[in-house]
Amino acid sequence: MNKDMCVRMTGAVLLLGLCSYANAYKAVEVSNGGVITGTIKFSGTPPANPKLEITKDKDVCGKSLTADYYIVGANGGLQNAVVTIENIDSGKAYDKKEIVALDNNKCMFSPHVTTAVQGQKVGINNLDPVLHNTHLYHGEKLKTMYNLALPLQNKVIKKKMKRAGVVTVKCDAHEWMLGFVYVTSNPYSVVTGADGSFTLKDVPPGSYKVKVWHEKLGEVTQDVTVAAGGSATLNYSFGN
Amino acid sequence: MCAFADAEYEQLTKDKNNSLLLGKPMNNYSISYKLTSVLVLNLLTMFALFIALWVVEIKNADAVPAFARKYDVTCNSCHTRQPRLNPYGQKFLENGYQLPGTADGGRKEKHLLGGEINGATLDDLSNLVAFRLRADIQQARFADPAVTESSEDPNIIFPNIVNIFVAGTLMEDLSFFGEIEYATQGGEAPALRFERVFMMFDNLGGPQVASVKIGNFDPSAMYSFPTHRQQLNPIAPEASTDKFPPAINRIPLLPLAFASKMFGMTRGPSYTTASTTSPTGGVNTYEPDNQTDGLSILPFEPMFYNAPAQTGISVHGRPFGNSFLYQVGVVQAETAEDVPKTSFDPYIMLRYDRQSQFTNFQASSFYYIANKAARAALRPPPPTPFAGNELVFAQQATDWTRMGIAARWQSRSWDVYGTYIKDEIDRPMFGNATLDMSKWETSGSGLSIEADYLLTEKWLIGMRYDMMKTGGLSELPPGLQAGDPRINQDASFLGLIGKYYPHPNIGLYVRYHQNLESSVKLPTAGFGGAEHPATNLESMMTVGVDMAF
Amino acid sequence: MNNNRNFMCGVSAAMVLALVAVPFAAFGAADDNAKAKSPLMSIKASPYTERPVENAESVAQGKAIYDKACTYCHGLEGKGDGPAAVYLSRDTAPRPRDFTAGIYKFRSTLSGELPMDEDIFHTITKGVVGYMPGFVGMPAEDRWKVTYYLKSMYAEFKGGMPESITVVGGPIPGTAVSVNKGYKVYTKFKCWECHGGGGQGNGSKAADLKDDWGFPLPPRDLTRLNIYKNGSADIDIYRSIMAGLDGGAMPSYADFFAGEEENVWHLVNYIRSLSQ
Repeated sequence: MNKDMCVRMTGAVLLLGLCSYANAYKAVEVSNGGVITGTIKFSGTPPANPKLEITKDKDVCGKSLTADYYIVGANGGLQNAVVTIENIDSGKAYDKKEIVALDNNKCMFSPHVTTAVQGQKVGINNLDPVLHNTHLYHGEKLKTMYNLALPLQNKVIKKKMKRAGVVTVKCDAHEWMLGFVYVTSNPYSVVTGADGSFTLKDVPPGSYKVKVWHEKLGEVTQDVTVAAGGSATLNYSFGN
Repeated sequence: MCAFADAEYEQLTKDKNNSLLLGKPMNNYSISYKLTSVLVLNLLTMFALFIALWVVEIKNADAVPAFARKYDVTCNSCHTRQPRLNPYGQKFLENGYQLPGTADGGRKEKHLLGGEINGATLDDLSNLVAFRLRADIQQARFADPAVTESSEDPNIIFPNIVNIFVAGTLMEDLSFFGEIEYATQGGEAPALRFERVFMMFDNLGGPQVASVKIGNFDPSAMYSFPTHRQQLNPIAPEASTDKFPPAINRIPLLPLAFASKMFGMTRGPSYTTASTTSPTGGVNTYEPDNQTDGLSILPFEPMFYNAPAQTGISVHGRPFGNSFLYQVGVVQAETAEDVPKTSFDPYIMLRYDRQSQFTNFQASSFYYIANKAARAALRPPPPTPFAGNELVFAQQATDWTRMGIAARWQSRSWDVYGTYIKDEIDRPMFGNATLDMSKWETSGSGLSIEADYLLTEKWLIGMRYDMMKTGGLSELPPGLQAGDPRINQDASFLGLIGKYYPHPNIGLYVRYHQNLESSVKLPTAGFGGAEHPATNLESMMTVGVDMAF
Repeated sequence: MNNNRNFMCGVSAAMVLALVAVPFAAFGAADDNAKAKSPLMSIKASPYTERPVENAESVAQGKAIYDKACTYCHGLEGKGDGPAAVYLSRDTAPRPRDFTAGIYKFRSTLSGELPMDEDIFHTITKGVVGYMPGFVGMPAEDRWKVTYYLKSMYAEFKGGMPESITVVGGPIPGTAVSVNKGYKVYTKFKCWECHGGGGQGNGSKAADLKDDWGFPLPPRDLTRLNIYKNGSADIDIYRSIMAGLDGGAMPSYADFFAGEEENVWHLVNYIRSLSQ
């Protein structure tokens, strides 16, 4: 469906912008899928996470917090990196109605980094008894996407991720709060665990560009070839 | 309309009845204990002023003068910092106090909300009337204390100058401006008078094609270095021009590029006291009445295109798009007293504008012809071949032409502007072999460059350099006494200003001027054993307030 | 495509605008009824019959007007970088809007949505108190053309209709009961954490609030009704609460007030009462 046609159809059926959010990804049955696994690491000594200056709501937020920008495990495994396949037009199905959780918990975003597929909704919740406003921005340049008030606890606000790309999450009320939603056009994206490892399953055989992204360390793209039913490995090390 | 006028110029040029005698001469602050006590007094006064304004600020955080009031915007929508205009304010002015790009007659929302009003839209008085109030404390240091009389009165008057403006639009493309000023300068009796008063018909022949200004206006309003709205307000001189040569205790501090620059020039003999027959054969001599005011032309006096207000008619517009502005006009001739004032002085100004990111650059040039504007004179000191106090006038009143270029570069927090102005007069001839051996320079030039920088939202610092290569009388005839202060001498000053705005319409400033010419006493005493006026003032410190409501 | 959009615009806006039989004033008590039915604006929007068609020609005409009237602050390319921009607010917000960023504060649409044409027209007409003069003196047709030109600076305006906030009910008389209810809403929904207990913009979270461009932008002092940038009519305040002010720190409360919009009108009365 090309864009012009899309717009025309939109007009015709008065579908409010639905079309422009539709992505090109096509869900198909993947019977002979392979797996991409690996570990993202940080070599050398990671930069120290800064101490966050808590200026407000100390009774809820605590007196001091440390940023969670760099979480490096014992073997150098880097947590909270995002691994995603860039050039994949069709593949496994995913639940379009899945709500990606994003909590305001003790004046930090939990999880700190998460992924969502374009069109999915992020469910934002406030677990704290104070006012948060979850301010989502397109990209890392802080252009407002949504700015939502969360005055009451435990009421989930669901907002659709309309575009692929990095979404920066902040809270104007608490300057130090920072989180990321990595929105992809396909479901092949994952956040590395505490040991830096990741697994992307049900990947149709083929050659892919796989991107590794980290909020502070930037991004890098690697070529990975997946054989039918096979297992490919991608290890990457940020740092020195 | 956070602010409009510069009263000191009026003081200099318009107010002939009042003369340029601006009250008692300054204290001689070169005596150190006096300096100290006065300084302390000044600082205390300023401190009190700061406190008072600080309180005012808290109570009244959104006071905005007339146009700002009218449109519900901050002063800084139109000003870089009051009183200087930013590019938007310049366009607002150019468009006859209507929003740039519109011919809205200055209408504001409530006319729509309350129902359309046709025709004249004189709305709230507060949208038309504004006040500007200025006061300062001046301390001068002189090279030669003998010039100035000593006085115990410190030069503190609050307020110094009050301007009342009535300005706005009557209807689409018809605007008006009126200004009344109440000035109490230097202990002089307060005077109330009209200043600029004019009407504007805008956007004639199409948008931006032609706007016509008629009345008593400031011709340089659209020049890149306008006479009005300077960060370093002009400070009036202490001088008396009702005699020739003029008695100058202290020169004025203003952009010297604007000054007349010519020594030895007069407004000519007054008709009432002129005697047309010459007792000395062939030379037109006149015995001026000492009551005649405004006889001498002060070499430091702003004139012609840069006068604060002149009667005439001017047309400006941008028919060729936004880049080029033209202005042509005629103003009532500033002729010598004995020349009938039937002619008009024509002028033309062209300006180029260029906008880029956070930046506006403009350059302009003008040419102004003043017909029979002044008459050179000599008063040979005794003993002379001539009788006593005789004042000898040149045979011909001189035409005076003036040309200037100016540029302004305003980018982010910077505002840099300067002008170079050159004046030409005719070589005066006296019809007398001896007097015609006097040497005259027929041209003079001046340069003023100012740079302002906005340190923060509330602090502005600025610096201005003024220089004047004077013309006019440069050497008396051989055998006549030299050392006369009417003989030209170059002048240059550096001015510094720090200005604090507790609120956009209130500026508190500290200002300092330093004479850059070496202070060399002239060899003989032509004028009370004094320094030359261009070098006598060594420095001047001013603290003051400039606010608009 | 534009026609479609106009049509769609027309349908939805007509649904809400058609209820307004007479022009109404922003502050007149007698117009409360009209306001109650008015959807989003505190000014009269032109009937669709009086609007110029949005096409390349009207956009070009809008540009010509923009070049004369708007560039000094908003810049030649609409990036908010005109030569007079810095003087408005050197170190603080707001700066003139950057039209190429597609972030609009004053909307009747949900947070993150682009504004409706009427929203842009509304801001051009009324201006922004303290910063931008209202161009009510500019012919309405010209204001529409400028609106179209501003939209042309951001491609996504060509997408579908933005999602509007819902206006349920209308202004309620500001009785003591209503104001008291509004006070409870103000407390429960933690408006005071930013705007302060007394509404003076001095809440515990007031410090350090910034706009998208990193300029300090403190919460509005609600005790000064006449300087609300998004307008001070009941519907204006309702709009600010529900839509939020994108680009600034004020978030949208639409999700939390969904289904209990009456509380917003009580809150509006409480907020108005702060200025009395």
